[in-house]
Amino acid sequence: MSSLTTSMAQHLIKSVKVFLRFCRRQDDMEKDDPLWQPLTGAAERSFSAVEDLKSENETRISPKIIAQPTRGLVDEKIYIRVSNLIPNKKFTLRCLLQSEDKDLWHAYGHYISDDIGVVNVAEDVCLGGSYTGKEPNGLIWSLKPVPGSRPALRLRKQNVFIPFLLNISVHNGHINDDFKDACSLALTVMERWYIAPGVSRIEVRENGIHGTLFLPPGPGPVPGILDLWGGGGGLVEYRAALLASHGYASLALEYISTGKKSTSLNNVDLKYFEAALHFLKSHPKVSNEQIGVFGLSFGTSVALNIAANQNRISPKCLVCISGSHSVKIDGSLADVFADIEINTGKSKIDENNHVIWREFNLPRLADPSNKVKVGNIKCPLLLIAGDDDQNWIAVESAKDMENMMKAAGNEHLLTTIIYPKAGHLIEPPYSPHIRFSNYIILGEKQKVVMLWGGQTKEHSFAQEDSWEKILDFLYLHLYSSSSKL
Amino acid sequence: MDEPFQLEVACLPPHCPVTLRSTLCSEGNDLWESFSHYVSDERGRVNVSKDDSLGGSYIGCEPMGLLWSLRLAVGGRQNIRLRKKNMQTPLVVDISLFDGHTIDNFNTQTALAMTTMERWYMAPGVRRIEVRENGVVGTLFIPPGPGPFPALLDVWGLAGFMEHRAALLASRGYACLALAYINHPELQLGSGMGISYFQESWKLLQSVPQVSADRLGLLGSCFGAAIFILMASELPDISPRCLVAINSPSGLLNPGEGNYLEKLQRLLPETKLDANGHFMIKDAILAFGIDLERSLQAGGIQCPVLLIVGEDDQCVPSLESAQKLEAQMRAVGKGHLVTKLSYPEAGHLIEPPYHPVMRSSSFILPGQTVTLLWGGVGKPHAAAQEDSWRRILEFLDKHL
Repeated sequence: MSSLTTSMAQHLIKSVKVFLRFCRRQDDMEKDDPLWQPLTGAAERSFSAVEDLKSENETRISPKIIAQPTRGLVDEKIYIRVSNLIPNKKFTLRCLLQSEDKDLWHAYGHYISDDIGVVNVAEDVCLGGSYTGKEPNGLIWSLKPVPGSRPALRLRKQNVFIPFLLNISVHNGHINDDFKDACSLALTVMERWYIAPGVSRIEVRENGIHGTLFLPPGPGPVPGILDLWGGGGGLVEYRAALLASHGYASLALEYISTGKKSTSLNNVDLKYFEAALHFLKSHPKVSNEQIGVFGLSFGTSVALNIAANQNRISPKCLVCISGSHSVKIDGSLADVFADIEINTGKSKIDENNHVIWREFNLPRLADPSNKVKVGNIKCPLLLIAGDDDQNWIAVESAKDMENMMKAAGNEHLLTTIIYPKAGHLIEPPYSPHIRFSNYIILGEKQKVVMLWGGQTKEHSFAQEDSWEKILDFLYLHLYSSSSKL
Repeated sequence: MDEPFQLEVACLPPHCPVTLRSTLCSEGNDLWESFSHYVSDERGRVNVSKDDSLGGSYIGCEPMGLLWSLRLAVGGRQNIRLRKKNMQTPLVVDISLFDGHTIDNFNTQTALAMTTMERWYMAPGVRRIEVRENGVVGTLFIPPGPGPFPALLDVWGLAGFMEHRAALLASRGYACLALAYINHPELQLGSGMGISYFQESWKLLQSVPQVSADRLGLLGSCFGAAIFILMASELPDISPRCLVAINSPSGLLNPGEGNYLEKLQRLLPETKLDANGHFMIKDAILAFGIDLERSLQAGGIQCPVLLIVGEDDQCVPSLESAQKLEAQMRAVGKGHLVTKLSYPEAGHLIEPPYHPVMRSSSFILPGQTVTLLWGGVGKPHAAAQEDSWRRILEFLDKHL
């Protein structure tokens, strides 16, 4: 007897355990693929390693690795348990992944099996390696390029329809970083996906907008999110795909061209973002009211400008990571970048030749004309920053924003979380932390190594914790608040 | 496929009646569906793992009901088992939410929301290798890694060759050879029937480099199980570490050599039909087996045996056979090796967990297609699939 009105017709089904598509057959892999284990070769090699697993009565048997979930989203926690090991002996657990650029990343931990020959990563203490202590997810958040890799790499997913394949292996003894001659006693594979089954990907090239829309399955309407990355430019899709997997129609928007394609995106102004918001709102599967904006780095500045501007489209909430309000967008972005670049010559170089941008924008905070009038923001705002951010003045900006909003009387809308020892690139959970990486400064077409900051363990905690808080925040303001009677 | 899922609905008004519907499109393009009725709680939520279904394809608290109660949709083909041939792709299940308590005409209504779930038989990294060697026809599934692994030979009954259970077992750490011995186009005529064929497949499995040659087990359903029991009992070169037999007629039927399907066809005139015109083979086999000389002697088995019995099995006299087999082994002092799991109201087709429960389905014999009654009632049969699988994995873990 209940009929649901359209405003209440936003429903979410959360399917917690889902398995995703396209298992890549090991048979299809190339023979020189380091992850390939040929049927005979590896077996013969491993027999000698397994020899000393023989105890008196039992013949050789492989240790068994249970790694769950076998197929999961990248933000899901993992569970790894190894059994059938010789009790009370040293073993190394290793996680190996090959990026789409063919670089190898790995993480490893030193353990000692218990009295029944079991290592349980969730409960046991790791004695060394890429991480130490009791770290259930250590094998994924501490991933780093293997020795001998190209320098200054960053792991980013390009094609969200192919998962990351994590090879989890166990080895005798405590091995340090060099696994070239270490054959595994056992191996299993986990798939990590940025996109859940049923989510669809739609290229958006209309009204001058350049982006990719990810839609959750179902008739909708669902809340929408405009997803903005930073000054590195290009079209980065993986976070939007992940947000769609959590029930939000998410538009990953390109607003800075990296010059690889012939798009003329380097001259956009706020109207461009307004068009993107309008596109989202008017999509038949997207709610026309429950729209949020999610920004990182320069994307945060854009988000703050949109929200503070008295334009027609005001978002329902904002998530702002590692950014600053000290970048006011009045005209085109090209002008804004020019304004910033006047100062890049003042950026520091550290002893490793890494570029530090952190300080040179500090003076902007002193000048009100540089700053977005955050006192005009009318929606809840979640501000996230790391205090070891070497790229932007995120922490100082957060404090200044708080002061401005207190003065304007809207500080009740603000939630600030500062993570100690976290750096600039606060990404979705378990993205490997990198303290620096290759970066192209677009205006100058110059390739540098940019220092982002952060200490791996604390930064990884920040990613894990902030994501949970972000999802709760988005749910509160875009889903449940709408269904109140 | 054997892992449970959690399903929650949120952001509903409180105390709102809704219908959850699951649909699946099989490889044969048949639509399977199931639906259930819930009422949201005071926070506007439905949690399928905790809440009771008030009606539909199942009632009560059934976390996995939306899978095992799937049935062929009205208007399409009927009486066909759900079979997946391609192990490299998942079964895709869509779950939709509808307003109110609906029982039909879902296609004319707009769903409020929807989500999609993939169910896989094969874990990432598991290798699938088609085997055509020395006349042996089958598919080998090997877990990822160098091994060596314990191994299993897996067979089904007279319905023919299926890979899904072997794929699942490999996903659980066992190198598993799904063996074809009947109804397979590549089987050389006659070669699938002799005992030497099974001996050959045993030797082949032992010779796989990733297999630990002295940790082999046998796992079979129905007729296949009877063949395995014969092998384990009578052939000295076949020494499994353990044996699992699901609804085997072995205590009363000697598979012997020869054309099994013809034997089955000869049983048909003596077979009773139930009220729906479905064949109940069981009584015919029972009558057939009263001649004790012909029944299989299992006393030669040296290894632990796990017998899974559906007490409502209408196809083979599973309970009677299991009791007979246990008695035979007890008679030679090996009763302690036998574990019998008997499930009331479970039928013949005890599949891996969450498989749709089918009480009868069509069966192809030479020259005719009939509908066989398998037996089994919804929830108890589904529970039997879930419990027996858990017990099978524990049994294999212990002995292999």
